[in-house]
Amino acid sequence: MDFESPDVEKEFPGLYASDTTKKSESDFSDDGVHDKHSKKDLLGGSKRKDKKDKKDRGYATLEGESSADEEETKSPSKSKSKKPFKFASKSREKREKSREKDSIKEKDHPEKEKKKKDKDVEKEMEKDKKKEKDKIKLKHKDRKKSKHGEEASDIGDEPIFGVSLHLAVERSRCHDGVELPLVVRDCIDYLEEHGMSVEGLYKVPGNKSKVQHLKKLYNQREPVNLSEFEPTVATSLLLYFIKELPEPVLESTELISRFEQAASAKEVAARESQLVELASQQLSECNRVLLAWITLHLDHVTACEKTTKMNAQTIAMTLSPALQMSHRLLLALLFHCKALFPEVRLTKYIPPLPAGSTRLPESPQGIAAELAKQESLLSQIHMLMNAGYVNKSREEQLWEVQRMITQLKRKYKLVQKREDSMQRSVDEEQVPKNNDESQTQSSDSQSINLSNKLSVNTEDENERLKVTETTKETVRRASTETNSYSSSASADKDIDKPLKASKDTTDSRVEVVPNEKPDENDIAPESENAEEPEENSELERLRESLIYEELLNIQASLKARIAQERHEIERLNIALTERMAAGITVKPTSERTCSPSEAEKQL
Amino acid sequence: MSKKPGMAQALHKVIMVGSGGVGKSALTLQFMYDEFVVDYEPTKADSYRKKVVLDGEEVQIDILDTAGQEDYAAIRDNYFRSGEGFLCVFSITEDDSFQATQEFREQILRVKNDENIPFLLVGNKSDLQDKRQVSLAEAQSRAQQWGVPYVETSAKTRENVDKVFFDLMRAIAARKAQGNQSEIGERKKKTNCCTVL
Repeated sequence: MDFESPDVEKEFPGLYASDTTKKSESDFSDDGVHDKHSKKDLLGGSKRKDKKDKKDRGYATLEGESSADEEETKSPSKSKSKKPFKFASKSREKREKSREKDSIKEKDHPEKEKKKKDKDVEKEMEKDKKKEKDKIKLKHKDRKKSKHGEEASDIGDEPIFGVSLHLAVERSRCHDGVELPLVVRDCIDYLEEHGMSVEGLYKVPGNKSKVQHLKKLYNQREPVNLSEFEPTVATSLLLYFIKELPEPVLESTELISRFEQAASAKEVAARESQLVELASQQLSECNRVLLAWITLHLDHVTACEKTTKMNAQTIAMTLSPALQMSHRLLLALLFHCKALFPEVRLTKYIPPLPAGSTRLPESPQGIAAELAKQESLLSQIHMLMNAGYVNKSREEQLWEVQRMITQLKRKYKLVQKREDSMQRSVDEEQVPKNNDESQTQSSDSQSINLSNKLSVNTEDENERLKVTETTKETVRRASTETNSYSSSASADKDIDKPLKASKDTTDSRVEVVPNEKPDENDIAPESENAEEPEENSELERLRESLIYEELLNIQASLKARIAQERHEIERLNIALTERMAAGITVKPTSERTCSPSEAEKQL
Repeated sequence: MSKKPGMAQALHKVIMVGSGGVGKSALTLQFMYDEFVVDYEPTKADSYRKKVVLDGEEVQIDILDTAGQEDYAAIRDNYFRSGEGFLCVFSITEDDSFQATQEFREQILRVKNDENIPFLLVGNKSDLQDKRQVSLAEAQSRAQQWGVPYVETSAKTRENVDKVFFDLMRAIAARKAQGNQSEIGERKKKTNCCTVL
């Protein structure tokens, strides 16, 4: 963690130059910011305000927590190195202290400026703030602008860093249903893959300017390839993101203290059950997912102690300040993480296929999964465009993703059709046999035929159940979408698709049923004819009428099944729309294929 | 918004609009894959790309097939904004769909802010003459009033299907050629974006 260590300097020669770069950044970006700022003032309506309110709460909680953290992590050398940037004003230093949990590890200027900026904007809106603060605001006006200039491009106004976790997830979604901001997922994925052999993982900080660069890329939704960077950069970036969150990972001071209390229980079982209850019932979904991924990941780091040289103790020591929890609580969470989050598996994120990919998945399930990703991506693009972030490349992307979806849907239908026709050919084989047998009128073959038919029906049924299964899954996936207006539009689409799928299958069923009908009709008149010339056909007639009845029964029950399934789909749709309307997010039930231990093996 | 492939192949972006069930998707699929789909299945949005030879020059056409249903009006603007030319489709067998074209035209003009945007009025289902509700004269007079061409098509028989797409591409290409000097529409678009911001 020591920036001044000679090793670090050797490794990252640019480390100490960052001070000057920052200065020059603020200088150059000063211009062209006035208009932006005033625009914000004009338009900075309620949306901004809301955000700020949230932030405020965050700061309030921090104030209580921060002092301890600072004592733990502050090293004199760092506060020294920070000085040149600081203004002499005492009051400001005080504010800074309270605002920044760990100003230490990240001496990064822009961040402070950003926070200041936020504060300032808020002040501009709420004029009843203290005069002293106003003075400060004037002092730092230029800095605030510099921050603006840095992110002046279109999307910079909706950053990923420094906003509430929920917002970060919404703005930078993983399209496979895991409710994590992309940056967190990328870091953990990368570290799971390449970090487990790094000595002092999380202890050694990464190159600050690289971290800053990455932050900027993520804020602007630029594509990022973390593998071009050192694992230390990924750990620092992850911690940086967490520290920038306006609320702690455990949401609130109140909840933190409840967690702390639970962690202090002496009995292991009691501790575990209390923690489980808190984690599963008190934490909101996105915080729960974040906590789960972080603790499971850190647990994995400690499991690789041989190479990482980090055990639970050192991890807890290093990270408890950033995670805003006590050493003991973090240790307890690490100890119990598998019991706390039994359903969570750390899986590598496979982003939606890029535009123009020619290798589409082949299986219906694979296509459906890819389709869901693409639709999630599409809804995000719509959301951004509806928010006014329109540029050429985004429009281009909109068409591309739409094209991808169209291709996938066509392929899905094709695959479906192929399966249907396979089914139908089975049915057709069945039909002529049926006729032959009714002509030979052998009672044995009749019964075989009937059982054959039944087996086809059950096969059929299984097939259909499978489809409804996937249908439900897609609906479920759709329901994990949050309640933003355009993602609800995508959810609509998700509903469309299963409906279609089920329609397809019901269609095929309907065709199966009429296939039986002529069959039955064939049997009936034939037996009538047979009745006149020969008397011994009496028995046959009886048998046939029984079979006929049986078939009718089957037909009726199948029809009832179809109606039932239709009803179920409708019910699910209604429930879904209600949920969307109520803004309730449902626990994502996405499947994770590889467990941490598996990931370990891969290494 | 349109000159991205300037050095390489020209790319023309066409958007299909019109009420539900008039045959936008049928026209698109007939043009794309020479297939006529009998089953009706409402579209939300679909997008296609095809390489074609337009007046001896190989170009690409991007077709965006939009939803006729009002339910998806919210996302329509995002698509309209990036369109370079529009096929406004109605069914000659359904007067309501003809009346609705007025509204589509207005929405497009509002989003594009450009009176001269390449645009064709298309009366589809011309194979169903016995069920005709919209007379040729009626449709022609509306097209004249808007200053756009009117073409009757049949997605089923493929009558005039290529014609409407190629005519529109020609209009777009001509527009791009002249648009290099006066980019009024584009500038207007940009101001539009900013105010939304």
